[in-house]
Amino acid sequence: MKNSIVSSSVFAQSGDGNLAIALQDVFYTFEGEAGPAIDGISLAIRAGEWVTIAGPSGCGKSTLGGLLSGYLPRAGGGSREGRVTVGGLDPASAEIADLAGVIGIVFQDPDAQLVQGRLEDEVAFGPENLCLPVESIERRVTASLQDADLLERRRDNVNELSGGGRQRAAVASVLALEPPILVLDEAAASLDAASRQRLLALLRRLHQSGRTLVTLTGRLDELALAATRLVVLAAGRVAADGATAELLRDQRPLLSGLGLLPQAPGEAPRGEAAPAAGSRELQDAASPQAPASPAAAAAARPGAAPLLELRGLSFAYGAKGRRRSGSRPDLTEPAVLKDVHMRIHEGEWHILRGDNGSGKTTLSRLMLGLLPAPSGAIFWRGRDASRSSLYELAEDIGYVFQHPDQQFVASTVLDELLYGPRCSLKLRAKDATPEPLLLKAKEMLRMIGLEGREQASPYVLGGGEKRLLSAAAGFMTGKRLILLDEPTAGTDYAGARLLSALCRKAVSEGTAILMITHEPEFFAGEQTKIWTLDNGKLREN
Amino acid sequence: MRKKGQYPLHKLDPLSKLISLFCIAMLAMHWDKPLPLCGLLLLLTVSALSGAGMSWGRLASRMGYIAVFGLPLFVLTTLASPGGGEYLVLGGIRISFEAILYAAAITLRMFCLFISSLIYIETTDPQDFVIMMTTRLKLPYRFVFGISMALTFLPLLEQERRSAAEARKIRYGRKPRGIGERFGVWRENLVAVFAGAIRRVEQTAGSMETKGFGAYRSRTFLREVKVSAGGYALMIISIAAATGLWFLI
Repeated sequence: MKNSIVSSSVFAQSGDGNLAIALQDVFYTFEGEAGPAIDGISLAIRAGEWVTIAGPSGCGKSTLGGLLSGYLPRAGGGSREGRVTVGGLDPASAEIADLAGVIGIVFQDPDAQLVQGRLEDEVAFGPENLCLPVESIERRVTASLQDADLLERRRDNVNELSGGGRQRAAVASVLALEPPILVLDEAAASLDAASRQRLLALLRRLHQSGRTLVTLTGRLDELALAATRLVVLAAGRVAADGATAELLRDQRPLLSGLGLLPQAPGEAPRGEAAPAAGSRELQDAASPQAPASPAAAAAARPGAAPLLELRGLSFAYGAKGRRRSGSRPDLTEPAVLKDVHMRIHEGEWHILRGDNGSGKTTLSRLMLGLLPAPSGAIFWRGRDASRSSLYELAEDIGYVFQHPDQQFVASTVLDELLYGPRCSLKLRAKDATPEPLLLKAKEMLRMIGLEGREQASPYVLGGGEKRLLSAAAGFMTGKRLILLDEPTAGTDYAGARLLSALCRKAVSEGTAILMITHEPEFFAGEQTKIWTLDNGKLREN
Repeated sequence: MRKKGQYPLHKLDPLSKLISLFCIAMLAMHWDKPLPLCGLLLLLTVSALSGAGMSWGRLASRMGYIAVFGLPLFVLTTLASPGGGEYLVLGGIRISFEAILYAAAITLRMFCLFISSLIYIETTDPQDFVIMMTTRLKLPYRFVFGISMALTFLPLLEQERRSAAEARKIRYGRKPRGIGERFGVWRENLVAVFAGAIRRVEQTAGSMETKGFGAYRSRTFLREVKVSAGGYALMIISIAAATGLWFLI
């Protein structure tokens, strides 16, 4: 590709021989935390190598990425010990210009790194800071946007892009710096299958052109396994390091045990996440072959009234689109949803999939009244949802947000789980939590692998841990329907299995679930109905 | 329905709008009678609706924010202003008409300054602002970016406030009852917005640094923002009108 960013200059020899990255006995502790997040890591990555650093949620992957980019401890605080060199520079003390010319990092959360309004401004931001000539900036911006498949949207506001679109924008903004070392922290977490393939092809081209690539991930999928070398992290330490193919062959039990590989048939789930011995319910729920509940069986009866029904729902953003009736599309605005029909009964588990920007999140927000629903198109238990307030709908419907940070309401992990049930029980701040509820919350924490972290802030958890906590909080309050928006993005396989078990248990108790995901394969084998949203049209698979 | 970018004030460059804003601020500060300030507020309201493309609802909600501060200011100024002229007796409190007129002028001034700033923020691309201030006025780009980030952050923070409020409503699962519960929810929302703002500022600062922000004394810009003929016209009309009105009224 003539304009491609990969055809530009490659990594020059670093001051540390041929090493692009070197860590020697590195420890890092976050401010206010007792134990280190990085616990004595030594690692050397040669220039031109492609290394995947994999580990379960909370193992220190993102912390390591922060240390390499200099974000930690420069902006993020905390204390670092040991020696870190990136392209011969210490990221903690190097000049900003020198460091930006050596390493680029794509963070896990795209919203944390998009600082401008317009997309082309966002991508030009780095090269502009480095005082490059305008012609050079223009070339880099065009090439980066082309590589991220966003060239046609260069004048759009980044906030108008879908979650996957913003992630691609974040990738493009870093590519424009043309860094010889590129670190991607779960950069494919919100991408659909096609976008993942494009990112994989791009990374291959970058690697072939001599760039050093470090991909941080919680699961060994096709993108992670494309790297020639694999480093496995566990609890802030290096648990294994070697050629990817060799580790896959020789260390499969370790990799599976850490939740980095899909569970083989008949394999036991990760130890710390296994249900308690006394918890028969959760043991049952851990099996996909769990018997259907009476509620689920009742739901399957022909003629049973649906909980939620969509009757020819059409929707477009903009004032006119919000006012109009569900069945008459407004031709002045592009319709996001077109004549959507759907029924959800008690005890059913629906999966809604579709490409980035296909309208999945819009649909779920309409169902709960987070967007003004057109009249006569959405019915909750037979009543037009457009006539119900958010509070009225939220009494029966739970919603797990795409970005967990947006839904956290408490300062500790335990309080986060207890918030909903305490509100339902109308408990005041000074009222003690009833013992059964406390036990239920602790059991839930144990099930999602957060036992012992009751008093930690939800915001300091790893990306996958945050998602599990937000989902678990949604399952604490016995709602009739729970909507989950991309709950598996950035989680490891063990996390996805835990989520699956939570859903299965809820469904067996009669709760209906609508899960928005571009990774339905995680729930293969479950009793689900799969829907695809394509260009605003919904079809059942 | 026109898109926002099609409204005239969106098409103008930040510099000419800034000079116009400065002229409006000067007049608002100069006048201390309610009538001309009423006229100025009317002009600004028309500009917000037809020039900036703001909806009545949005404008009214923003007016509501400023009314939270404006009404107490009006009452306190009325009570605290020195007497003179005719007196009105309300529940044993003697209030002069002059005090009422003065308080009205102060409050209207507040509304004018707020609405004019709001129109500027609504119609100005933060990046255009940075480019214009850095390339035309030769202001240090780090300083200008600070202002620009504030402009960028306002809508983002509003969006985060909305998300936090929505999340709380959903998680609360029922309508809060009584003043105590409502106040509790309001306080939690406020804390969430502040915590979110601090987190976002820290993340953004770190991210900007990893992209080389602040590396050199100057920086280049991909885009160029030019002053159009309409921009020059706005500047000339604003300065001429402000000068004339300053001496006339």
